[in-house]
Amino acid sequence: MQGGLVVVASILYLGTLFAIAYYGDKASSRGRSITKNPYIYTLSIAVFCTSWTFYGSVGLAARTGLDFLPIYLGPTLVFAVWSVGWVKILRICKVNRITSIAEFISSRYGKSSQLGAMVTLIAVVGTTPYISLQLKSIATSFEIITNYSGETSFINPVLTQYGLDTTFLVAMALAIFSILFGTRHIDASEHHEGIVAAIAFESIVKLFAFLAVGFFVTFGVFDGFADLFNKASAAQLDHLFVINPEGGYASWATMIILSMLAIICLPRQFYITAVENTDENHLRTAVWLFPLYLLVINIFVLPIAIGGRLAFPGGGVDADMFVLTVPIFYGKSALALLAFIGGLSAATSMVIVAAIALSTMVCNNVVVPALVKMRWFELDKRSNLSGFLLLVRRASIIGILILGYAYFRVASGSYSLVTIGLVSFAAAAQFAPAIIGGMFWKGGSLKGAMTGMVLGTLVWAYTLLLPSFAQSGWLPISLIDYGPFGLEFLRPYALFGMDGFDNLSHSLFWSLLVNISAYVIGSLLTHQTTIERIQGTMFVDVFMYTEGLKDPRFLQGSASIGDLCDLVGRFVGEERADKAFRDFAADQGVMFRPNLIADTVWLDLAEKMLAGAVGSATARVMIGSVVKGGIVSLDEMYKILDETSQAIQYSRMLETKSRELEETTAKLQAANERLKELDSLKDDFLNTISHELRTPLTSIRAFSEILSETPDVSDEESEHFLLVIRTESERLSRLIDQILDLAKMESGQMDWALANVDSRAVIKQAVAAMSGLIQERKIKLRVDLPAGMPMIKADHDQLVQVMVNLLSNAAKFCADPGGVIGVSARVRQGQLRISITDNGEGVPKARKAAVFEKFLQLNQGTDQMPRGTGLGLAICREIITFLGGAIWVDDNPAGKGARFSFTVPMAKVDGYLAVEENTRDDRKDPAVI
Amino acid sequence: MKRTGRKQEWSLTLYAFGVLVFLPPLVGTYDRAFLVLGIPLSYLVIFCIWAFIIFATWFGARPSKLRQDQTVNGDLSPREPTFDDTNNPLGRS
Repeated sequence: MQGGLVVVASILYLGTLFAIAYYGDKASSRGRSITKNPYIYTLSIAVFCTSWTFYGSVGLAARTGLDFLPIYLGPTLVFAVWSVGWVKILRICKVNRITSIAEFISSRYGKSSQLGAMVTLIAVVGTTPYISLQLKSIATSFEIITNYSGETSFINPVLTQYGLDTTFLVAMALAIFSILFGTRHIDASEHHEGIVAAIAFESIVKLFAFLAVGFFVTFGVFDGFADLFNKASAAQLDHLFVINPEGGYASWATMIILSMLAIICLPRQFYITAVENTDENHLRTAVWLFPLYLLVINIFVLPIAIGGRLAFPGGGVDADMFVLTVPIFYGKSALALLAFIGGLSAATSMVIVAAIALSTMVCNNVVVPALVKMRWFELDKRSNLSGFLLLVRRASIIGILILGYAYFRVASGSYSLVTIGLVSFAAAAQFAPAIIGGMFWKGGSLKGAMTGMVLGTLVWAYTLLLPSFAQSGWLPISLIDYGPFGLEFLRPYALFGMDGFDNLSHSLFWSLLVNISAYVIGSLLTHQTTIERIQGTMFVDVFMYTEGLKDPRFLQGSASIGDLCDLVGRFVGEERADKAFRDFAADQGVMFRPNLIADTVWLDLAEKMLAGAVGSATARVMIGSVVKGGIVSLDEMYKILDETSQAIQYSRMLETKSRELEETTAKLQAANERLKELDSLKDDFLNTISHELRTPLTSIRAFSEILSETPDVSDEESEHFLLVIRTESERLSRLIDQILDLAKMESGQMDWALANVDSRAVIKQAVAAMSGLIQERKIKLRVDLPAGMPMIKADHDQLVQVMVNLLSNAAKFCADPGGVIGVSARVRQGQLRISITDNGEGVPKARKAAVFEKFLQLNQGTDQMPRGTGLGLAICREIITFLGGAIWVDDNPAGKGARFSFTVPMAKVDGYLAVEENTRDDRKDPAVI
Repeated sequence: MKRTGRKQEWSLTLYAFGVLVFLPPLVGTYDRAFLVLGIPLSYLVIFCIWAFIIFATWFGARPSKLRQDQTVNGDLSPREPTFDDTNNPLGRS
């Protein structure tokens, strides 16, 4: 066939495609979207069917029978389980405005830009063989259709005479095409409706072309399926009717699993299914229609393969090209051209979508984050960034296609289409643990995901990619046969001596084993940062957040709406940003006022728009850079929260402290008051005491001076003087003893010996001690104690002291002569009350309370000499108060005189104590006691 | 889109069924080269099961009539309360 005709047809086809894309974009911008339709959506997902399907499946079927099927059964099963898998992915992408698989993974693991860059790198490396597969198929099919001789001859006289390589030309043509399609402008939402429309159209074309060839072979060449299979059976092609029997079903099962992972993890499938989805309900159609598309396109794979085998029984023709060579063999040039166009559509759709998806990833996840980090670039200050971003994307597309071409030159010559494709699938499968784990396991951590992905990819490269270079002669072939440096256990196709598996199963086993293990163990061993935890929850519980159960908004800030609009404008164009902001304001029903502080809704809008242009991780940083002094990131938000809660805690502590301080101050003030009081008391006390001490001292000095200085003192006089000196000395020492006692008691330094004390014994002892004085003064003592005297809780010696003081007071102040002192005891309300009465002058009513004050001396004796120290009652009060009782004075109820009473609490344990037989102890003569 | 628990169970069951019949050992039971009605048994069985799974998926994915009016379209991201939601009697600022 004329090369010119083929080129013209190809250009016409691509022109049509471009027209459709252009129309799609126009319609979308006019608001009449043609792609918001479940059928267009489904057909766009059919970008899964590439040259691999169109040419490669037939080639594989012609060699090993039904082995081509798992690649389509796996996706069918994944779509059957859509309501667990795809819906969740779609929802996560929508909520987080995710624009690529790299974004998805990096967003899940704490918006890590490193992880995003790594995913991008793996995706580019992994997709390269796949792109080279498409290039190879286009180049080969072009060679065949323009230069068909029935046998192999792949030199095109038209192009080679200009020194041009067909494949390179194809690669560049596709690059230009992708650039024209996918990078006409930066769209915040990353919805390329024009492309979706074009891809859907391509899916119709390739299906139609393939079915046309299939119908021709089955019903044109043969007489239906039965005839075809019977003839194949007769030609001993029975082994093509079954799954490749060599090596059991390991390879079959591997490919099913692999294709399940690939339909989710291939960057272009993820992009077209999740990112380009405009309505979740479209999924309801896609989940059955897409598998149906796969089924239909596969019906004629085996018939065409058998047709090829029967047409070229001698072999020598590339089975991968049967779709093309069989019609040519039967002289159907038009059909062959249609098949070529179908193959072209299959290849171009894949390359365009992959190139756009990858260039978005390279731009958003590698270039922009790198530029953001380079401070000198001052990304946020540049005005026309959308142009710059477009340039980055266009350059990445060209770079990606050049990579694909390079791989084609290096490695793909010796491989079939399917083998190359599977290398790519296995690379994409390395994303699966991070994606699937991230969707269902909150515990998956950044470090785990990164480690797993890196190790898995390294194993993949070692067990699949490197050997493909070796087999092409680019590396020494001994690497495969004997391992590196002759280390046989490291042979790439039989790692650790694992023989007996096909290369793919072998590689997939090791890479996924390493990947999943590292992911799980790494996640279990490392700690998630706050943002990782939040993102993990957002992903795993996405339905809870979007169905109104939780609020995912965290951002707050203090940038103005105008600031945000400017920032977004630099990336998506000022007009577009302005319009989006105004529309948003209208939607919200508020005025668009640029000076207003942007609340979370606006920040969110800006971040989402930016995320479409530069990726979510970068967008967050950008928003952060414009929000001044506000809460800019989750990390920071949480840091601030932490700080706030700390501040709250501090202020609480401070409150407590200040309250304590106030209390302490109050106590201190009280103590100070008390100290002042005590100080003045002390002064009073010193005044009093010096006076009290001076009085006896003065008498002692005076009398001793008289005695020493007056020689003619009579014996009688001197005896009297000496007596006075003696009594005054005694009084002085008693006074000092009492002062010391009282000081001890008041300062709390007294050693108290509290015990259960027999009250009768105490009274007896006190009376006995005072009996000398009482007898001397001829005083009558009546002791009236009840039959049972209780045990009391007291200090024995101190209680005796109280009794002695009271008795001596009574003895001093009772009538003289004819003094009568009464001692009585009563038990009342758990207390023992002891009263001592005298028949003296009594205590005036006004001074009844004052008698217990220190140094208060009431009625002096007739000689005006003090009769006591003035401390006795004060000491009594101290002791009784300490013992928990009370002491007071009232009038003697029996007549003249005073009655001093005090109470002491009784000992609780033993209660009443048995006493002597006589119930009444009323002795007239106290000396008998 | 409102999701219902039944749909998830249905799709998981379907998935389990597919994995069971397409993976060894069950795949070995129908992977035979002989022709049935002129068509290889493996080829026929695999395509029939495949078609059945597609049918069952369609069956499970039909929007429930009861819930149709509850389906959520368009913007899925939850909205923060706006000024209007506060019912502020003073009117819009």
